Amino acid sequence: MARVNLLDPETLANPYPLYAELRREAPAVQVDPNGMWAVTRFADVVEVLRRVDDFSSEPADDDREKLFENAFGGANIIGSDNPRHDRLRSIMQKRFTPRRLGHLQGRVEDLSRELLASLASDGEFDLVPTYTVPLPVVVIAELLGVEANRVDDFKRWSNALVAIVNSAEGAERQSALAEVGELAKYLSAAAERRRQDPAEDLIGALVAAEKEPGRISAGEVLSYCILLLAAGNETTTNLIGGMISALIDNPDQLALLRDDPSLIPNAVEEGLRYCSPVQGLFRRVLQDTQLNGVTIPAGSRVWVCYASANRDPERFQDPDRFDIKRDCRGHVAFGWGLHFCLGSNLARREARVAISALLPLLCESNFSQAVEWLPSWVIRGPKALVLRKAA
Amino acid sequence: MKIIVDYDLCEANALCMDSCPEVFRVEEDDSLTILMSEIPEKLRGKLEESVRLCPRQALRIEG
Ligand code: HEM
Ligand code: SF4
Repeated sequence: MARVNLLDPETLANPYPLYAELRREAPAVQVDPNGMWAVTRFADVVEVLRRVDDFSSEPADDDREKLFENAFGGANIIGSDNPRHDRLRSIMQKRFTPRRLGHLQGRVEDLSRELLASLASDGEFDLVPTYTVPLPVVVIAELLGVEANRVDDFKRWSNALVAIVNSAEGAERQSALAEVGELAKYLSAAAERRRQDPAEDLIGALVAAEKEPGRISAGEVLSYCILLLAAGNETTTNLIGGMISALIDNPDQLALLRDDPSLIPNAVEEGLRYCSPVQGLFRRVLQDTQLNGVTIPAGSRVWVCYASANRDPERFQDPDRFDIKRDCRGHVAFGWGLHFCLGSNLARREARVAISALLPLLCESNFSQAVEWLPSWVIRGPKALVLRKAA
Repeated sequence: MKIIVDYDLCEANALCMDSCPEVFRVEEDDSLTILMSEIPEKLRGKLEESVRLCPRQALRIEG
């Protein structure tokens, strides 16, 4: 097949037909942008994620991720191989277990209800700015320990971070960079306060680890906070939005949930599989590397496509069907192995509460939806999700 | 048959417990307890499922 480009507008609108072609073609296929090698079959995706010594997570000197790292003065876990990865991950590991997050349940429920209460009552609303965006931002701000009166600033900074991750250009990029500069200044000051006056929140936990020799540097603390924001907000937003959209597209599934809300946890797993908010991320090979018979040349960038693995018919029967009752365990929407999503249990909890709180409204009338998808091949989800009551 | 846990990798998300509660228990303090030192052959299928589903690849079967 001729070399394809993931930025092709038709593919951005719906990448799944192209993923199916790539899966049929070979274990790794060179695509644009940047001539990276796309890995799209379930078994190959898991193999790449497992072979951490062959497929490095560290960005090359001229990658955009490296710029971030330099700006904050330290690397983050998502862009680290071992031993640095485990040194940094183990600081936060036990803060994100299901049990540790249990105390959040009531707070996330209250927050969802408050946000829904302020929806326009005229029967037409965009759930993205009113619901799916603010929920995760407020939750992570509170976990990090941001003061309540700074939460609005924090939301603005978080949006700027998202704009940069989504490759904003020109004036938008300039103003976003300025906002992120403010965010970094705020976080540095917050860390400094906790050096004087220890705290139990996540910034406090990172700062406390600085006391152990060689554990984490001040720059790495800053990078960690930024990563928690960048990795956790838009992804969760897109999971919740993508699921709402799928439920409206599939009224039979919505009816199943309405009749039996105990299906919500499995529906969220299916939402993760079906929507894959992170479509794919990068690895790098330092030497010529074999992947099931394909040679990937030294220095190549590899694009590991979780979204395609999650729709591989070799692994999931009838994969393009959104089926909230299926056994979808083992999906790779959160990655797999060493870099498996640190925030997976937080994202799951937020999504379960968000869907459960919205369910009565979704079932109350027949809604039609107008969705505008983010024009990104890395992060997929609704940029606008306008629901209209059918007349 | 025995199950070996890499406790540096395990982060108590309890997915192993979902597929094989006979063998795995995540405790109140987020530690993982293996309930049997010698695991009967009839649990092999469920145990293999736990190993496959552990997202951190913290589990290994021996024997
Ligand atoms: C539905 C929501 C989410 C999705 C789909 C998602 C997806 C992912 C994926 C695919 C990875 C693997 C990266 C790799 O293989 O290189 C990852 C890693 C990560 N995620 Fe998430 N994520 C979500 C929510 C969150 C939340 C809420 C947080 C934080 C509070 C978070 C923090 C992280 C961190 C820190 C890593 C890096 C882990 C490491 O490198 O060891 N994520 N996420
Ligand atoms: S599934 Fe893996 S990481 Fe989770 S508790 Fe079991 S062994 Fe630990």
